[in-house]
Amino acid sequence: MLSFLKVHAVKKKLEEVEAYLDQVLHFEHPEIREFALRTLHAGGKRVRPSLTILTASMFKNEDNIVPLAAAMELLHMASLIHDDVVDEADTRRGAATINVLKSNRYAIHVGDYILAEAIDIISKQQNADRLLAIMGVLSAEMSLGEVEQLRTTYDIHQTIEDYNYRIDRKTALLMATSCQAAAVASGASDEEIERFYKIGYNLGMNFQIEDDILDMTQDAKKLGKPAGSDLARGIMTLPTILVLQKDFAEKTELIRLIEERFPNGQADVERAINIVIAQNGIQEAEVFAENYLKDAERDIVALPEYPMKKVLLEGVDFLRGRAF
Amino acid sequence: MHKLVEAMRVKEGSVFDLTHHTFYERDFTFFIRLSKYLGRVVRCDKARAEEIGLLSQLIYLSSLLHVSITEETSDMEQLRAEKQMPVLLGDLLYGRFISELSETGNSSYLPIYLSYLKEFNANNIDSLEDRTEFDMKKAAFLLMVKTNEVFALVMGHNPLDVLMEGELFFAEEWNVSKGEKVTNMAQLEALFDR
Repeated sequence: MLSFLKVHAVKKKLEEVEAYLDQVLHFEHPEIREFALRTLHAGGKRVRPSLTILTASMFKNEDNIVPLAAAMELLHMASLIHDDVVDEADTRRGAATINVLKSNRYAIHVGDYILAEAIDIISKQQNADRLLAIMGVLSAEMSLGEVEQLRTTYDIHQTIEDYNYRIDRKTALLMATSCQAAAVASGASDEEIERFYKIGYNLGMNFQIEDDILDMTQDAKKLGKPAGSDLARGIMTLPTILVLQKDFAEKTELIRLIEERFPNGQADVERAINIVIAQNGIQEAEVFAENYLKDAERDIVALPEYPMKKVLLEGVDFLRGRAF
Repeated sequence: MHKLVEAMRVKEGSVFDLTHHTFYERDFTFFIRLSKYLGRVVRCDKARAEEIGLLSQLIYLSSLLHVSITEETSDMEQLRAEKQMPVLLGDLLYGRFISELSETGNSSYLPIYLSYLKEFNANNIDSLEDRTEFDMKKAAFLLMVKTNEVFALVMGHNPLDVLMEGELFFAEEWNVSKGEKVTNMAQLEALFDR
């Protein structure tokens, strides 16, 4: 669990969010209830509701924020269920996915039902119209990011901008919205809302880049899947993109491995990873990650002396030293 | 450009590929036409009727895409076109539905649309569990009923009065013809230019 979540106030609220989620997911429909609760109880770091709680606490609104924080986790859950269908994932957090246990369509319908519940909850919060506008954009943009990821698989010509387009929508936007929505629901000014949006955004960009680095560098046991699973599926992440922009002896080999879609399986993936590491792809990607974290830190430091400001800074420190 | 066509845009330079799907003119226009009809029946402002038509059409298309997912695919191209893209494009249209709902000031009708979504998804699970049969015709009928409710709410009418008109329209229009197969965006744009 992220260290800043151990702060009593956040932890207590997260427990309330968990209880709220358990309650709302006790749907009348038996199978949807079963799979929704199964997904909930499979775990997760609850990063997004944590950000919602922290932001709301800046405005002393944490007592009213539980439903909205829960809704952000439901949006995330629904997107993960759909992602598992798109990615043909067999497991999620060590448990068999709904698409494997039942079918792809089954999983999509469960995800859609959960999504409808999330929107229902959001529609009952303060400043609901504004929140719904934000959620509409979020939902559409997240899909666009995934569409773009599909469209660009095994594409060796991607730029950093292309990568940013994808991870902006895949990860950063939901984390930014988790903060933004809390600020909106707490009656914050436009300037304050924008400030928290940016903090969440920069934390999200860092989070995804680090996730992409870990996918290449962490050993399979810790990851719970083979290293380089993104690369194996043709997803070009920042370390690879940075290396492909250089000229070096093994570049032709790296391009061939990717364009031939790793014909010798994991052995080829690991060879490609080794080339990326040798060409400093990881170190250079770390610089990008750190820059986003510095931007978030700068914006947090510039905040007025909100009660939980220190906790957000501790969160930044945690992300700086992050590993599984 | 009609708002429905605009809603289906992906990143600039990319197009929503319709060639792998079996969609017909009816799938893109039924709820827009239904809403024009209901708008006249309840004497609703034309612009409001068009807004509701677009909302129902977006939700219907999102639903249609999600039931059109292929379970088994034999190659990468089929995987992308028949499984991955319908999931994501269905999600995209759902997001655009929520945006449209809030931007046009129609969020008070959200509970009605959410009830459709929950019933639609629950009925589909029941169908997959072999407890019932639920196809897109039943889904369209369900959405027609909900669209009627929206119009009734808009004008303060008794929903049952409006429902009769909606049912008549459905009976006359849904089965008559699904229209030509729509295989590309240019054809879709032309539908709305008529």
